Amino acid sequence: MVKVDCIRFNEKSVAVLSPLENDVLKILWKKDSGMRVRDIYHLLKKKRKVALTSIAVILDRLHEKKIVARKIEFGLGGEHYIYCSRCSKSDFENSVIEKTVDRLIDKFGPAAVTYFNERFSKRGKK
Amino acid sequence: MAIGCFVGFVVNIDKVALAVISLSLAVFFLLAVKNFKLSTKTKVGLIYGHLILLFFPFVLFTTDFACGAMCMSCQNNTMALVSYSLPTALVLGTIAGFVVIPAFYTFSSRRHTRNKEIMAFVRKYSSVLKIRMPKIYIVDKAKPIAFSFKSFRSAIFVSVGMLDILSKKEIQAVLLHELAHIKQRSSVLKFSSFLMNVLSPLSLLARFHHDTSKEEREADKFAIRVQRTSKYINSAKKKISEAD
Repeated sequence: MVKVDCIRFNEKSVAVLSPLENDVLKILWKKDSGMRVRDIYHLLKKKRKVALTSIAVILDRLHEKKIVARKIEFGLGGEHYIYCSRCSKSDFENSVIEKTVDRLIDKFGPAAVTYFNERFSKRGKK
Repeated sequence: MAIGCFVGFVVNIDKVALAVISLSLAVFFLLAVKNFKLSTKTKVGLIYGHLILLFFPFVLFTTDFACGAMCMSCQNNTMALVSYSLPTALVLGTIAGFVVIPAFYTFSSRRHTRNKEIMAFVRKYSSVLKIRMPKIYIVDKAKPIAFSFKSFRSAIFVSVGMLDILSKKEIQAVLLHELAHIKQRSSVLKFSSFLMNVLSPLSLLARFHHDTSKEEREADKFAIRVQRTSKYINSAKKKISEAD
């Protein structure tokens, strides 16, 4: 299960990941076989100004959050980590929604359930 | 009973003289380590000499025959506990520092590097420095770390995170830096100094502090001398601090 502990509610959006974490994860979702830190860096630096060390730190943070998995592989240049995402984009989004709804219900109880019922019935009528 | 033993010890001039000489030498060794520029081997010898000579009067006291029986058999107070615990702590600390901790790192890492280029590089510069080639272990950590120690067999530990972010030349600079530390026996001196700070109250009074910055500078100098530039060691350090 993906560990989502930090969900930030802004005025315009719901942020689960930092912008750089999001960009890194987007790249990993496109490649199932996994990627090296350097490969992700080369792809990302075309889009934005970023340091190799930042990518390494972000990947380690995502690994700690159990969003990505890693293994040591031996290849050109010696030992290195291969990172891959633990779940698909849709699985990740579902997990975030599930956690968010669960937390709202835990916090507000029946009021949250009643609100969701009203909201869904309104949406259904539309 | 302990008072009786103590009186018996004080009236024995030979033993008092031995204790005074022992403590004076301990103080001299401490001041020599603190103030003189000495080789690592000599410094480590003086540190151990200081600790052994500092604990010697306690051992002399506990093995004294004041009333016909060995004082150690009568003592069950704080003094006796200190007398037993200080030499024991020194022996156990030495075993822990030079056998148990290196063995722990060696067995917990287990993964040797398979990179032939790195191995050939380390072999080459080990022979330049006239040291036995250290084993190179890969640590499963994303944080960029590299360290070395000299025990029965010297070893260099490099994390995967470090190999991920450093270029080939930067990795070589780090390896040269660690080889220089092995040559200097930095880990031995660092641990001996730690033992002295923990076990010797005199080292606290003398404000003894082992300054590692000189060893770090020397290790950097070796890397710069071999690579003929400070570019790689500096960029490696910058990347390591950025990722910290």
